[in-house]
Amino acid sequence: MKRDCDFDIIVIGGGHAGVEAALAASRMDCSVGLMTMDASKLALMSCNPAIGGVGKSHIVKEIDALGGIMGKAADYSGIQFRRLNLSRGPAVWSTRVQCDRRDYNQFVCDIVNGTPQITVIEALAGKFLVENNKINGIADESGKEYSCHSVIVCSGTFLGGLIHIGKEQTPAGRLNEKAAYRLSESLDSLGFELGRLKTGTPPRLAGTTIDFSKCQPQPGDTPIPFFSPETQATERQQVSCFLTYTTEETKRLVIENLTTSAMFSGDIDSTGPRYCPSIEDKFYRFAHKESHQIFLEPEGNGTDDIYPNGFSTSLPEDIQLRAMRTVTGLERVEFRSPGYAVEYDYCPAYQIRQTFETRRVENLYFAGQINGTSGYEEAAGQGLMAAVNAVLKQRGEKPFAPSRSESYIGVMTDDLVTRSTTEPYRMFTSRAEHRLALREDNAHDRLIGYAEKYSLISGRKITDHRELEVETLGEITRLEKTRVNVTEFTELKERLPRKENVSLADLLRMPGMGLAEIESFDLSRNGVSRRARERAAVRIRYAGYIAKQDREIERFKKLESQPIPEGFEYETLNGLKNEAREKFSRFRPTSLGQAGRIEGITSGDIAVLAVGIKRHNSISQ
Amino acid sequence: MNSDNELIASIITPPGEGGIGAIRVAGVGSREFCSPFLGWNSDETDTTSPFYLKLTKFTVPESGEVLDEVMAVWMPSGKSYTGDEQVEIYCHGGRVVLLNVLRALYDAGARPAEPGEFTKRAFLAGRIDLTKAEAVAEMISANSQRSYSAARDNLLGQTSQEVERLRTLTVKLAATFEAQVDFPEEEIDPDEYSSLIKDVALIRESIQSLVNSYRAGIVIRDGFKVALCGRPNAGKSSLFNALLKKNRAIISPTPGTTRDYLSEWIELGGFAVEITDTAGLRDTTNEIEVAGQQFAYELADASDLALWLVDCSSENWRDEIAADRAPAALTIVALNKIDLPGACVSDDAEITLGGKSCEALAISCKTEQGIEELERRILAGIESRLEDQTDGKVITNERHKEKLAEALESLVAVSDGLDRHVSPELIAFDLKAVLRSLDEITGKVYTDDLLEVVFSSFCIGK
Repeated sequence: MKRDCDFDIIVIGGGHAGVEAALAASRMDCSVGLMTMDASKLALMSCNPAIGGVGKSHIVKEIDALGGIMGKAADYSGIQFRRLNLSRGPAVWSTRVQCDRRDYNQFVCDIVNGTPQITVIEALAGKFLVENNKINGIADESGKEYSCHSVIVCSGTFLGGLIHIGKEQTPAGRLNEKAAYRLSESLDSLGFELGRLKTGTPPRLAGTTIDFSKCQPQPGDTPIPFFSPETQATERQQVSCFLTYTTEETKRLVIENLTTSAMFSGDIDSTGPRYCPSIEDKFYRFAHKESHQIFLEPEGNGTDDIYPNGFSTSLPEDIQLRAMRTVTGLERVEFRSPGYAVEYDYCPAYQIRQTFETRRVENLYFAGQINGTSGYEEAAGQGLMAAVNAVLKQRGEKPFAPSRSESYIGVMTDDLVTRSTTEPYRMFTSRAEHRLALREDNAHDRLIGYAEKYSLISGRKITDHRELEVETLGEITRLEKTRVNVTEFTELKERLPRKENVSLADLLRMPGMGLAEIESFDLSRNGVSRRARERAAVRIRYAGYIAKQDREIERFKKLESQPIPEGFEYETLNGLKNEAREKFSRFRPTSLGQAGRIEGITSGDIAVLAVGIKRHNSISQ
Repeated sequence: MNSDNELIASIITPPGEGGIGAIRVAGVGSREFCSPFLGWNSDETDTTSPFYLKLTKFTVPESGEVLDEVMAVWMPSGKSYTGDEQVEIYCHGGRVVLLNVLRALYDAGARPAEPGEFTKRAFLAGRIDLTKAEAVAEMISANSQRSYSAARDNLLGQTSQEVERLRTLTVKLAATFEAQVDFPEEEIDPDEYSSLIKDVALIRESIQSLVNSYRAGIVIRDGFKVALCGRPNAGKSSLFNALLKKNRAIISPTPGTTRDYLSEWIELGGFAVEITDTAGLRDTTNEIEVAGQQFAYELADASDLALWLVDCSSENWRDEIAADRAPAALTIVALNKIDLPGACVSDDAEITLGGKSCEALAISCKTEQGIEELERRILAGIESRLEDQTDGKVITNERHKEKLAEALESLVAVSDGLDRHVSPELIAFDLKAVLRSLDEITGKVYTDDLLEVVFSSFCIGK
């Protein structure tokens, strides 16, 4: 790598996107300057002290497969591990880890500080240094300049951040912290379109003031489901979360005071996420529902701080407290800090390419909330992608763009560059049309090739994974070949009256059967690892649907493999509807398949475009 | 995409009765190809001027049969709608005439134009300035090879409204399952589950009736297909001629004369009916005959109505029809030769043919006794077919029908999954396949409305 600059890459922001970006670039042997306002707050969980959840956990597994830190940090700091959706099929099984907020942050700080390629710069980013539409470096708010080849902006809610609590408004990215306003101005002066989004967070509670006996405990799962295959065990004390409910009184109080909420008083007109509604929103929009669930989540082992999940609010603090005290078990509760709404700037993502590089300024990359997303996992995935692509571009190599059919990260990236943001973007499994093929259990299978190619993980991990795959295939064969004598087991005789014997694989394919259920019939299972057994079971149980899904993926690839030439002129393309022309010019799709995913595009538009590309290619040949 | 040099031919006027019906032949060598039919000289000495509309007769060169008196015009390469060489033939408007002319052209080697192919060729040749681009885009996407009449547009409008309605229902259904996957707190209670099963059944029924309407749709569009079949020498070719009221099929008393098949269009009660004479069906070892018979069965099975002829003057016809396999299509048994002495007529309204109970009718091709009644029965067959069309929602486009059939198949998987209580992401998988199939009809490519419905119907998020 050239060393004519202070750094190869400067990452702005030390949140989840920023640290993954810095670490990925360092693994690819780049020198990184990680600019953050507070070096002790790297990868701080600003909102919920949990990693994962449905759809998001898939991203964490993918990040782990690509050598990222998020999964390991969650495993290290986890105080309650759960697998969600176990009653559904394996494609949507999702890991969710309640973390010790402080230890998560400390773990990441230690890793970053122990990485020689990364220099943490404690400063507030102020201005992009750009020449000929190419980034040269960054100046902090004091005017000090740092030169570099690429900049990755991971500014989160700090970009033009404004916190609302009732009528009170404070410029801040997090409570009692600063915000980056100069950076917004710099983006604006470079010609970027900026928009405003909004998100919210609940108050934090003092656990000693809560009557947990009135709440329903929710323990974690055993065996503990870790994110990373490298995590073997945890010494950490495991705790329960608690479930409680709002009361009639809560509803009355919230509805009565709706107009005092920043969200409803007209002070905020930016869009918040509908999937994460504030308590005001819940009572207002779903008026027929009398009560809502509130999950009391511990923030760590060494603290009694409690995060009341489901009670995000921007009501004035005194009303927040009165309303909170109407919730069962919280009658005497005290706040550690109030809930708030935060508005921040973002750049609608049509302005970036699939590589996360901006179209407007070369070597400038955006990752995380600046692209209109929400969530630690979504941000981390983007940080990693942006960094890998920034490095690849510096090396003159082809970009890293995993497709929708091979990863959730690919789904997210493609969604970002083909839609207009209407609310903060969060991952859902339903966004992945190839959902059955994109599972937690095969994240490493799907991405390890890339991890190897870009040297994102060690050779040993690759060997370990290959061995696991061999073991899995052996286990599939064993399950297919091992036959169970039906007559020996009464429970089998009842379900299979006409069969004499069946294979273990056949049993697995029956509804309601899983690894645990076949255990008592499986007498020859020796020395096969749990992971291999789980992987084998999933593949056997899902085989029919996976085959169907594979056929769809093949169909999908056909359109995906028809590239649209870079800089294709939509203006001169005959026969295109104006709406389609506008959308294509704005989003600049890279393939016919991607063009079809832009909202409002019809198959007629695609036909016209296909013909146009064919003509374009035959003329330029 | 097919080679752009191939000769393509299609009817370019709207279906239905009209004063004039036009056929377009396009591709390199169109004039040379059409010349033998139009009485033009095909060589260099030809005097046909471009854009000169000439009255002539459309004659089948081999048989010398005149199919219609037509006007025809030649447009040289670079100066036509599609840009390539073209001949347009204007026939008298009857559907039957047009279909017969078209068939003659196909028999001579032209192939049917693919949906939107004329437009596509014109577009590629840069012939059309697509200012009204929407129209062309829609034409390409609608895969409609003909310009539709206003009436047909209306019909299509109704169909797409129906598809849109079914889509909305399916999205709602899918959202329920998606919500369960992405928001583990959501559970479906047993009452809701059974109502979901009912919803699926309703959508299935509606799609099934649309698929069924295609059978009516193609009768309107392509005509009603009648196959004449039965043992050799039962009088199929005689009936063919009786129905055509002219001598075209070769008739001989030797069994097995008709080895190939002949078909003609007739008009019955305003509908176009294609009558096909098939090879006799009997035990034989003659290779050509075996092949002919197999083909005959294929034709009979695929027809809208099979007329099974029986020589009721033969002694053991009852044993014979008991042993014969009935065609898969709706079948009428016609007991022929009732004029002969020794004919053993059955008065039964129904007769069993190879285990299948069929309507029966006594006729004589020779005296034409019963022929009119037979025509009435054919018409009744057409009318019963049209009953498949419910409240005007008729599918006439084969691609639409195929997509609907695909949707139906996925819905069967949904029902099956619901019965077996499989997990919601699998139900959602099949429901999404239904949506995809429906979207391919309406031309939507990618939609995000599922999550919209989830967000608005469920109070989700902790």
